[in-house]
Formats: sequence, C-alpha cells, structure tokens
Amino acid sequence: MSVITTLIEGAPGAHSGLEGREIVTSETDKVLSGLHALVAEDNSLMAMLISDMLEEIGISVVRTANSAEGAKEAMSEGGFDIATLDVNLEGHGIYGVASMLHARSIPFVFVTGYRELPFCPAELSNAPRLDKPFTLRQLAAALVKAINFAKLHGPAGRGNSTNPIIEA
Amino acid sequence: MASQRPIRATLTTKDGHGAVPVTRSRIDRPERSGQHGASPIEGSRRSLTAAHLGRIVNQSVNEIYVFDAESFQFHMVNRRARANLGYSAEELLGLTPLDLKPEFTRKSFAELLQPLRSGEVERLVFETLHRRRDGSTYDVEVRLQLMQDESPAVFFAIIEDITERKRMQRALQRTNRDLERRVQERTAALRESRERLVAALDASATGTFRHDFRVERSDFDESILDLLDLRAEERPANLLDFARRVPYAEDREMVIAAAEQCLREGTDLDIDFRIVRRDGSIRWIAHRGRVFRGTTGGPAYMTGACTEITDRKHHEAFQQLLMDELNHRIKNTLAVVMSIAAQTLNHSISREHFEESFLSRLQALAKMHDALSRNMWRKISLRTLIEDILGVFQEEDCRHYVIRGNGDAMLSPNQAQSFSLVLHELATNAAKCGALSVESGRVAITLEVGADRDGRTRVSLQWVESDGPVVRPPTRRGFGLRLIESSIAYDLNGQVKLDYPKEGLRCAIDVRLGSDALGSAGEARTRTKLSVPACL
Repeated sequence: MSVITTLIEGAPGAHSGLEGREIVTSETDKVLSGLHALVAEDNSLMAMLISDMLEEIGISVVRTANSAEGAKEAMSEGGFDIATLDVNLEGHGIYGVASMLHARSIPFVFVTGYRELPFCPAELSNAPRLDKPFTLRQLAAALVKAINFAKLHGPAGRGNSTNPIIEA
Repeated sequence: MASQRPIRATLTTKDGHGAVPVTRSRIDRPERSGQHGASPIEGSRRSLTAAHLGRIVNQSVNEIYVFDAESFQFHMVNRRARANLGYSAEELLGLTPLDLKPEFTRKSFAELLQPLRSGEVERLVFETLHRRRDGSTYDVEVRLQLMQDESPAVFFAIIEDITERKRMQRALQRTNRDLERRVQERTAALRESRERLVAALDASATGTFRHDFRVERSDFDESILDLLDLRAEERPANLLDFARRVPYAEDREMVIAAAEQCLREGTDLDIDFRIVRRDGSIRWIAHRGRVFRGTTGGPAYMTGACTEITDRKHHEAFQQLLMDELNHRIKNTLAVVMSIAAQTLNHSISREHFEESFLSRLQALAKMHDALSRNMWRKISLRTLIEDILGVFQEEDCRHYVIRGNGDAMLSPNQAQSFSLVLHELATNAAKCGALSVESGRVAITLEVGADRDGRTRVSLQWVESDGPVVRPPTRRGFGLRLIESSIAYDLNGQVKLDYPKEGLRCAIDVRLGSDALGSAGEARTRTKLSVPACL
C-alpha cells in the first residue's frame, strides 16, 4: 500500500499515481484504469479508505452510498461501471442491490468482515469477496475477478436472453 | 440283645405260695462262665471281665452317668463326668441329676422321663445345661436310656459337652442374621439407587435402552418414549426400526447408517439427530450406546441412552454466531485503524506530528471500545462518551468543561465510534489551541435529546468554547476537520456547522438516530444483526 511506501521513503502526504501503478500490474491496469466506481459503505473512514485505494488504482469514485436505498438511487442515476458493496449495510438489502447490478452485468465486489454470507442468493454465492482489512493488491485482484464474473455469469455472458433470470 | 419291650414273667416259689412278678428285659440264658461266680458279659469275649469293662466305661471320653430309676441317686459317674463337673466321686454319689441340671425341677424331670418309663420310646435325646461344682454351666446333649433288666432299675445317660457345637451354632445363626440384614440393606440401597436413577433420567430428559445382539432385540424404556414423544404402540422394535421411524427426515439416513454399522460391527453409538415432536417442535437428541462384548469377543449387548440437547445445540450455534460477529468487528476495527493511519499520514507535516495525532486518535478509539465493553457491547450513553473524552481535562478544584441539557442518547457501537472520533477531534483541537489550552478556558456542551415526528431520536449537541485564546479560523483543512464533517454527515446522517468567533470555537451537531436510541443504559436492548435460523 502506498501509505506504507511513503512512510518508509519519508515523503508524507503526496502519493503520485506512479506508486499506485507499480503495485498494479500492467494487465490489471489495462482492465481497471479509467473506470468509474460506486462505493457502498456506511462507515465514513472505510469509505475514505476504499476511495483512496481505488483512486490509486486509477479508478475514480463517482458515487458513495451509505445505505442500500442510497445505492439503489445511485443505480437509477447510473454513471458508474464497477461497485464495491459493504455486506454489512443495514439489514441485508445489499443483496438486492447486488442482484440488480448482476442483472445489468455491472461488476461488483462484496466487502465483508464475515466468514460466510448466509443470506446471499445462490447465484451470487461465487461473486468475488474482499475480506477486511485488505491491501491494494487484493483490491485490484478482486476487481478483476468481478469483471470476469460478470462476463461469465451475468446475462450478457450467458448470451441468450436479455431478461435477468435468477437461476434456481 | 435286649428286646424292645420288657417281658413280664412270673416265678412261682418252691413252697407253691404266691407269685413274684419280675420285670426283666430278657430271659438270659447263662453261659458257662470262665470265672468263678462271675457271669460273662454278653457280646464280649470271655476274657473281658466285667470289672475290666467297668474300667473301660470309667475311662471313656464321654460323660457316662448311671442313676437310680426311683430315687434318681447316682450309682456311677465316670471319670470324664467327674472331671468336667468338678465333683469328687464321693460328692457325686450323694447327688442326683437334678443337682446338675438347673433347667429342671423334679416334676419337669419326671415328665421328661415318662415316655421312657412307659416304654413309648427307647431313648431320649435332649439338650440342656449342666452346672458344675463351681457354679459355671455348660451346654450338654443328653442321651438317656432306661434299664430295667436287673435290680436296681437305672437310667443310663451318655452326655456330651456341646459347648463348642453350640458356639458354632450361635456363630452360624449370627452370620445368617448378618447376611439377612445385609441382603435387606442391599435391597433397600438398590431400590433407592434405582429411584435416584429414574429421577435423574427424568430431570435430564434422558431415556435408556438396551439391545441384545444375540437375539437381535432391543428394549426401549418408558423414559425414551416420553423423550421422543412416542405412544406406547409406537415403541420401536429394534435399533433399525428406531432409526427408520424416529429421526427427522433430513437426519434419517445418517442415523440408519450409524445403526447399521453398530449392528454389523458392534461399534459404540454416538450420534446427534433431530426429531419432530407431535406439536411440531424440533428437538435435538444425543444418542449414545456402549457395546459390551461376550466371552467370545463378539458384541453381546449394548446399553445406551438418549438425551435431549436442544438447548446445547442452540447455544453452540449462538456461540458460533458470536464468534463470527466478534471476528467481523475486529476486522472492521483494523480496517478503521488502517484508514485513520492513512488519513493521518496524508495530513501530517512531520513524523512527530503523525505519531502524536495517530496515537491520540487510536487512544480515543480504544477508550470507546472500553466504554462499550464495560456495557457488554450493548448501547452506550453519549454522556458517558463525553465524560470519558473530556475527563482528562478535569482538575480537582476546577471543571474545565460542563455538560448541560436534558436526557441522553444510547448509541450503537458504530454510532459510538463516530461520536468518539468527533469529540476527540474537538477536544484535541481545544487542548492544542483552543479553550482547553489555557487555565481560564472553558467548554460548555449542551445536549438536547428528543423524539421527532417519525419516532426517531434527534440529538442536538452544541460545543461552545470560551475564555480561551483569541480564535482565528483554520488556514487549512486538516484531517480532524474532514473527520468531523464526514462522521456527522456520512455516518450519522446529520449536520455539523463550525464557527470561529473570536470568543471561542463553536460547533453545532445535529443528528437523527434510530427510534431505540432514546433512553438510559438500563432500558437499552442489544440491537445486533444476529439471528438464529428457525431450524438449525
């Protein structure tokens, strides 16, 4: 994480995109750089952390939401192409948001502190998960997985119908 | 040999007058005697004289007595008798059996002897006591015979000292009584033990069963029927029948497999499964059986028990949930610390500055955790938080801060975290360059808590500094300011306004919490995301 590198190098504060890019490989950089993200997280410090980390990867955070309703609102307004979803938002409404994103082939990552996700719908049980606390590298890897997951398992991936069918 | 009954005969005298009745047992035919005037003893060699025989009798180790049939006086008492009794021959010849037998009177003795006299019996055998010369007594067995062949008619007694025999008899009786008593005690103890067992099984909701491998039959007792909510006619016939009918559908296969393995290989049973009671409720049952092997090494029988463990299973599941929750909170906290570290670093102008700010913020977090865990991680009072954070600025004789206003708000852990960080920033700022940096400075905190139209709790906190150094608005937006703003707006869905009049900094915070935030610590209920699934 670039915070650590700057601490060692004794240059507080500034972090150029260069350090961020060094941690992200050129491959992931191609896939992730320039994306726009929605961060659904109800803790301001966590939202700050995730946002800062995303920016280091080259992803700009266009929306934050501190509740499932807020996230749904953001979805209706659109403007983002990848999302991080805190599993622990009030209640389990986040799964509804995830299903909607999945139906629109928008990649997302579950951010969680739990071992299991007992209320996660079956078709999303293999969606990429990020375990708090995580490093920049882990975040980048999870985002790439999310893109692949959406390609393989989302409606676009299955190729045929445009209806978002929830598999039994 | 003498005949059994006396023969009555009459003899006529030579002058023909009268007859003399004579009673004798037999008419002896005298044999040629070898000795002058002495008639030989019947059944003995001629060479054995009467005198010799008399001496033999005298020396016998049995006590031998001869006493007169009418007067009862002793005619002869042999050496053994004399020795045992302690009398001399002379003394004894002046006595009768009555003198030796304290248990008899003349009358009762006569009654005793009557059957002999009447010829009803040939011999009398009875037990009684003999009294010695010195007054001590000993048990004897008396064998008594009446001899009337010759004159005088006498009673002949062989007497055995049965002291030892009696002692052994009594010992045997005592042993028997002892055994009897012990058997009774054991029986009582067994009954009591069984009662205790039944009570214990009852209290612990346990039922027992027994399976005999040799005849392939099982016995399930009443307590198992109760436990499993089965009627008498539904009693399982054997282990397999039990396995097929009793468990909840989902667990049936597992139980059948376990029962089959047990029956096949004689392994102990140790399984947990669910049952559905008639009222529809689901219970967990622990099924344990221990196999006892026979002399050939194969399984002979199994005794076992079924116990209800529903509570324990629920508890275990709840514990697992708690562990998960704990794990989750720790991870959250670590992530928050990472965030604080990153943000503090970004806004620190030097390494010392970073250390100071970072550690100070961590301490605020730690204090908040302390306060939460003191209240068992239930809600925590906002007033308590304020006291905790500002408490360091308290001196004995002077309060540098005061909390005004009514009520209190009960905060969830997340809300507590946000408030803690905000109050910490305000306090740290005041201590560095605000009212708390000088002796005269004061902070007045006004707390207003109430319910709004939707039932949600509205908290209004005013932080007003006074009598401190002259205030100027900040030149740059440090992390502290950003933290205050984002915590109130983002975490607490509230509003914050900071003003910098020269009298002292003012901060107005306005947030809305859930409807359960109103009230005191005593009323607080845990609001966690834990939920146990209906059927585990």
